[in-house]
Amino acid sequence: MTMQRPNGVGLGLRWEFVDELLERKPALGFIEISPENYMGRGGYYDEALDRAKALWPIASHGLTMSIGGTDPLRTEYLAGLRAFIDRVGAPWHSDHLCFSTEGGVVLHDLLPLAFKRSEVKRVAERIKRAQDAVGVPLAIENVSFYLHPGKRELTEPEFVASVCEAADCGLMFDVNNAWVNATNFGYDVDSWLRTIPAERIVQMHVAGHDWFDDGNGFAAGERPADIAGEHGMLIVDSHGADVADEVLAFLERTLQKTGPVPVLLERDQSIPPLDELLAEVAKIDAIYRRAVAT
Amino acid sequence: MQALFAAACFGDTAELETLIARHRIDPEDAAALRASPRRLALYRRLVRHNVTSIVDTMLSDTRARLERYAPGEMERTVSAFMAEQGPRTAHLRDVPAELLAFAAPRWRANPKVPAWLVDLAELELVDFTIGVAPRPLPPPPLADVTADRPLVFAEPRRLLHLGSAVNVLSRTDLDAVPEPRPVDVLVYRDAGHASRFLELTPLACAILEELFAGAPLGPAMVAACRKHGHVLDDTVLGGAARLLADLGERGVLLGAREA
Repeated sequence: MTMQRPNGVGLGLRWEFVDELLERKPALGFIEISPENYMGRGGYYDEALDRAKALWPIASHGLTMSIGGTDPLRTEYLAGLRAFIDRVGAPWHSDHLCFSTEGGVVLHDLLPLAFKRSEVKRVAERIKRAQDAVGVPLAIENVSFYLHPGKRELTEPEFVASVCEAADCGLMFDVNNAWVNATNFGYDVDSWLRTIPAERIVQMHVAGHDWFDDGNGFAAGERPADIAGEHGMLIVDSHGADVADEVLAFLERTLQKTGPVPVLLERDQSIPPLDELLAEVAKIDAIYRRAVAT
Repeated sequence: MQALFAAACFGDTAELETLIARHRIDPEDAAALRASPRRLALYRRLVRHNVTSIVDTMLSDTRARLERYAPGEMERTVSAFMAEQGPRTAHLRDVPAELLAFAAPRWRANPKVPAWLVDLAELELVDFTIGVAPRPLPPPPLADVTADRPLVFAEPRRLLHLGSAVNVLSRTDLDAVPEPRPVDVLVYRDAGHASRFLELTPLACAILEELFAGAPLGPAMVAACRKHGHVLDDTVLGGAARLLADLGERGVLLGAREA
């Protein structure tokens, strides 16, 4: 059976709405799933995955490869991942350019790498080994970060571009993460478009974010009126809100450069009714069509 | 640097200088950390949030009752777990089981925590793990059930031995207290992928233990009766027949293994 590849605008599959999604069968370019939620499991959600696979192309997006970690890559995990990717027919697999394990302990979050030349070489070698192990092209995702681990030798776009080139891998470009980091650290978000190799972008993510007080225990706060000014706020990539207008505008500029690369809406917190999610997908789809038509 | 980040996420960010010294951080890198020390605390919060969220989801009943008897104990347990051990599994869904293994001796030693709480937590986790256990392999060729044949049971299934009747504890009444008696429970998955619980007599449980270990039906009953001091009489035979019939109707007993 020939699998259709992810295209257009898709939606990250979440258990909160999987039943309704499978019941309504909306027209989606694809759905994205996290293998860790299904590997080594059976039962209801495993069966739901089979039903989803019959309806939409599937993109595979991992959470725990720890591609930038210093612990050895876990061969058992990679073998399980390969079998899973083969089962769902995903044409590529993406995971985050970060570390999430250290000394055998798993942090279950995405911790930042140092933007250093030595890290480019080290991480690229790990990506090559992982790519060989999983049997499909790998794409790395730029993550949001809130503290750079040490002195920087490269800008973030330079670091991400260098890793992609050195590893000869794809880029899962998270438009929201790029915007969040550029805003939190005060640089021009369009520097991404001047630096990253557009031809390596295999997929994009968009998501919402939230604002927190940077000086008061990171209490949830309101978006400041002037986000370019001194506001003492920090944006956290929460996936818990609608996609911000600035992020959608950046997505459109990115799509104008890349052409028709599949775009995925991620929502993990404060998940609204499915109608609202699908309306947001439709909004992104209109942007997608306008951008790739130019 | 990654080791420092991990330590900060699991430990106390107030000890930044100690961490910098312990991990022999380059002075230029250390200066960058000192410039934004609060942000390490944010990472600690994010890491902890992910752990507590999955614990709240999968051990919600345990958490609610623990809070009733020992306010703040779950938070303290999570803190101790993070500081002393940390998650070792790559699957977030398996973290609550690691936490429970860490917490069980701590809770049993705490006079404020009722002894049955560990049983309740184990039951909550089994409910989840049976529901999402991997697809079973196809069963072997089946034959009629006879005394000289091992039996074939559907997967997944598990026998639980509890010290109190938490399996019949009201889920809505947080003041409810389970009866303190030994309870044997068979947990299995039904056709709709839901976990089901069947309380067993001690003898029935012993028979199933033997059968699950691969003993033929006859020897399994002999061994179970010997273990519990029962005479293998018509009453026991009749009870075993009803048990197997019930398990057949529930889809747990599939048949016997061909010779």
